[in-house]
Amino acid sequence: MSYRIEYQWTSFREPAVQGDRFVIAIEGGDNNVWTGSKRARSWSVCMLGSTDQVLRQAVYFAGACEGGGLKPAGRDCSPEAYIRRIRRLVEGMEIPLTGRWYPSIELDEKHPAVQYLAKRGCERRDVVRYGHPLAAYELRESERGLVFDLADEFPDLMAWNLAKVSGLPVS
Amino acid sequence: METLSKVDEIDRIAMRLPSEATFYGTPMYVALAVDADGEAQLPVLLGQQQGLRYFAQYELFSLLCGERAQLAVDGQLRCRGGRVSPEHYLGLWRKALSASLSAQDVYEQRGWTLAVRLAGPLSDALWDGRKSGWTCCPFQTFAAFRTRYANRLEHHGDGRFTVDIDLAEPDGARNAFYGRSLLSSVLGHDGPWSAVLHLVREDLGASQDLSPQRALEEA
Repeated sequence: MSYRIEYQWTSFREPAVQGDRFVIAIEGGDNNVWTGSKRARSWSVCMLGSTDQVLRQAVYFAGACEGGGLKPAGRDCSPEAYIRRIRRLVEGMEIPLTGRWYPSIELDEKHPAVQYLAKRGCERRDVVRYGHPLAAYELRESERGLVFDLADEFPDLMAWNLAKVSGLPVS
Repeated sequence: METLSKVDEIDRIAMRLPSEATFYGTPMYVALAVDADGEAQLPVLLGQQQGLRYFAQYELFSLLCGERAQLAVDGQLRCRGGRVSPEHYLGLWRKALSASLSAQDVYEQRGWTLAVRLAGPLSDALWDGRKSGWTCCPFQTFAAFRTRYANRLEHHGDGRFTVDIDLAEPDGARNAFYGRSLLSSVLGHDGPWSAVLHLVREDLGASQDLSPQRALEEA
């Protein structure tokens, strides 16, 4: 059976008046995809939002642990242990890795968030991924808080549709 | 995700099915959350309403993580009135699994009957010459199934039948599973049939989530 392995985890804290927001980045990849003699892996933003929003997303992903579909560090893990791992990230008990996150929004062009961004004057660029038309947005630094507004308004959006990371160390 | 307003879960039951109930070779359960409903107890069958709702342990945890455990994060789901973390909540279900009950136990302790209602067409033209997709199925044809449940099969005026199979009766869970499999393999996944697990409370004397008419409407 194929499964996802996660190798490294880090969080970025964004202070906000109404409670801190977090961007959780995880380095992971499939167990059966290799680049040469090493399993392929990459960093992506997997969870994003307030503490509660991040934990809800962590619980959702943790559902794959019991059946072996998700293995932190390649080892079996209970959903409870996975949630605790993510909880430590938002409760500041882990030292963040060096790197940065930035807004990078790609949405199905029919998603209501497209209208939401249009009303805010965000500049849209049309892209095609695997034959699927998407609306893409590169926000200015001053607009980065908009990704958290999107997470509030549209909980169906996945974090990797809203932000990316760079500069994080490869395992 | 199912949208639930504030839920106070006061108990949970993992109902263990006999090992021969399915061909998966892994323990299977029916999961019952018991929510507070004022002063009363409201049993809630977990999982989508359509279907048998037999779950392997890993499926149950996936289901909990997709629904109720998420609600524990901000206190929308409480346990006996108190806030619990999702980790603790999942631990409560592990305890329920380790103390799982049989369908007979559930009836004796709570007075709750769990039954699968199978519904489908009676027309011979649909069934003639068609067999179950599984050689281990205890009834290879609808004729054999009909003979097995001859005294309980309810014929309806529109050429359809319903039959309730109590999971506490001998081979009940197995026959419900393979009966559903027979309906699905002969009539097609989206065909004119239904298999729905429902709960009957002895104290209320009525199905909690399925009327006889609804089974037909949903078929």
